[in-house]
Amino acid sequence: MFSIFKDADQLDTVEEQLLEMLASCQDTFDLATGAVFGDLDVTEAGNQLAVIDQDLNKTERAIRRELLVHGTVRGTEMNQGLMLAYMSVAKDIERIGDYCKNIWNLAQMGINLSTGDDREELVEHVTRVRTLLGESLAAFGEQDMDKVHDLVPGIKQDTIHYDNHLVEFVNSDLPGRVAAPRALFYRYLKRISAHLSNVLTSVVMPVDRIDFYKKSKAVDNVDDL
Amino acid sequence: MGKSPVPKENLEHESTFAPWTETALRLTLAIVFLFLFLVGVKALETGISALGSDFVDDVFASVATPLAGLAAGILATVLVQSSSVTTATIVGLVGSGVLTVEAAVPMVMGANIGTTVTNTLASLGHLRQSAYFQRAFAAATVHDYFNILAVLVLLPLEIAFGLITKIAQWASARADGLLPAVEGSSPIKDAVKAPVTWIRDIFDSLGWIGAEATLLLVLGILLIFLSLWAITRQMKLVMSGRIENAINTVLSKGAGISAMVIGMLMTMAVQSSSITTSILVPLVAAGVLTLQNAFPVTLGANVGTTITALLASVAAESPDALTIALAHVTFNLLGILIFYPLPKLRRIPIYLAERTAEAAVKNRSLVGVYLVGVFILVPLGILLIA
Repeated sequence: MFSIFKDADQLDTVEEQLLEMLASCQDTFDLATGAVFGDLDVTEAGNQLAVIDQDLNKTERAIRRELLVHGTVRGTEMNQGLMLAYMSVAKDIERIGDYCKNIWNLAQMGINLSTGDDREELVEHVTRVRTLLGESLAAFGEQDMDKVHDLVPGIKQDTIHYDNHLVEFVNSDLPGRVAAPRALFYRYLKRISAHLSNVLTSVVMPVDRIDFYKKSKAVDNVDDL
Repeated sequence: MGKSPVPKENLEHESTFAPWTETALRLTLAIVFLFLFLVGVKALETGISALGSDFVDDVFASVATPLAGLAAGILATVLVQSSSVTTATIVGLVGSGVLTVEAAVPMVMGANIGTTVTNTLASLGHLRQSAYFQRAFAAATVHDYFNILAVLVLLPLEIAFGLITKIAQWASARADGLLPAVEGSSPIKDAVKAPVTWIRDIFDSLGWIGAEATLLLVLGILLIFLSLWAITRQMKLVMSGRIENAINTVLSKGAGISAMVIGMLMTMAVQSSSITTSILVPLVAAGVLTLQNAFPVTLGANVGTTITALLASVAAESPDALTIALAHVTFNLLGILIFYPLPKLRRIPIYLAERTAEAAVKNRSLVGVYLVGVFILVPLGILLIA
């Protein structure tokens, strides 16, 4: 009941929760890829992943409630743009967690991606996504617009690259047990990258253009002014 | 995270001042408006006293029966959409000797019922979606039902035994000596009296002696209304972060006495139960707060809103002003003591609100019938008959 004596901007709390969610996604990605490449025990990784996933879902629901309370209490003084942006960002981060879980599901089905000839290329992609998760966390937390403009075009290229691999495996003559998990794996990498890009676009794009990155339309782009 | 991770364009209502400067400024404004509110009560009291015995007789005759007083309290509050304005005015009327405490108690009860119209109207904003509207309407009407039930139980006891009046008189007698000069003069009373004397001098110098009483009455009501509106606005802005915290606590920890205390403190801070209850309506509508958990916050708001009458009594001359303010507190506390501790009784207003909301969703025209019936036609009918 003493909470009424504590003054705090609830949006600060939401921002901290979003960063915690994004940091948790790094852990889930490591656990999932560790399991599917045979570096971690599948069951143990799954147990840890389930705990983090529950936390992610719980935090997403808490963020929705907090934003609703913020809007209701502040009325016309509310920060409408920020509220909508954070709703969108929370959903994107939660989806990243879900796709990490899907990668772990491949390991649960007995898939080990470290056994094929393409192991090195797959590991390279995993390293790339892991690095991006870390860089995105920093860029999002620091509201580093320059960094976002550096990162997003590269991520867009990655998603095209993953898509090409996906199409390649779907149409390949390789046995289903080889082609199908790789097609799915590239699909998951593509979705993780796309959601990460969405999170980053919220830093530079107007609310109506979050998820639709175009440098010329970014709020810090003064060329068109 | 020090900086917000979204574009500055998405940030609205950025303050020009540092947060503490803005808070200090708003608190200062709230204190200034509180002073003006007390001046308003004093002006009202002085104006009524100057109107003479005919006016006193007319007012007293119009609320001579308890039911007429109840109906007058409902209608006056529905009209101004604020029980704080009504109760502050009642305190002025009692302080000036126009109304007795016994006659004013049913009016205070009516003000309690009348104030619930605001959040019932607020629930209409959710009409678009049936499930949302059903929850919103239940959240709004649970306040109506609680107050109506409390009146149904306590008004007969007041008429028969003077229960609330006696408790309030006992409490008022105990407060003498504890509070700053219940009877006689005090620095606050003197400070409040001075501007009213200046206003009277201005009226005299303008040659408006004949209309002085009426002008003071109108000015008093205007000052009460505007200053309360301004206090509520400033305090809501100052308290927004704390209210968000408090509501989040209610959402995470659920119902109970602490939720009631939170509702009371929130309302005392913003000087408006309508603000508190209108915050609950969208949260219940969205499904993040249950009606059971919103209910104790509503009851707390009922108690919190009594602070206005207590403040108004500071400006009044007669100790009866404090007694009627304490009667407002007593009525709300007794209502809670009757309907909250026992789960079976606690369920009654919740059950009635849920059934009414169900019926309202099936037949939307019932919403209009309910609103006009409860808040206008029934009290108007009572007033005409009484």
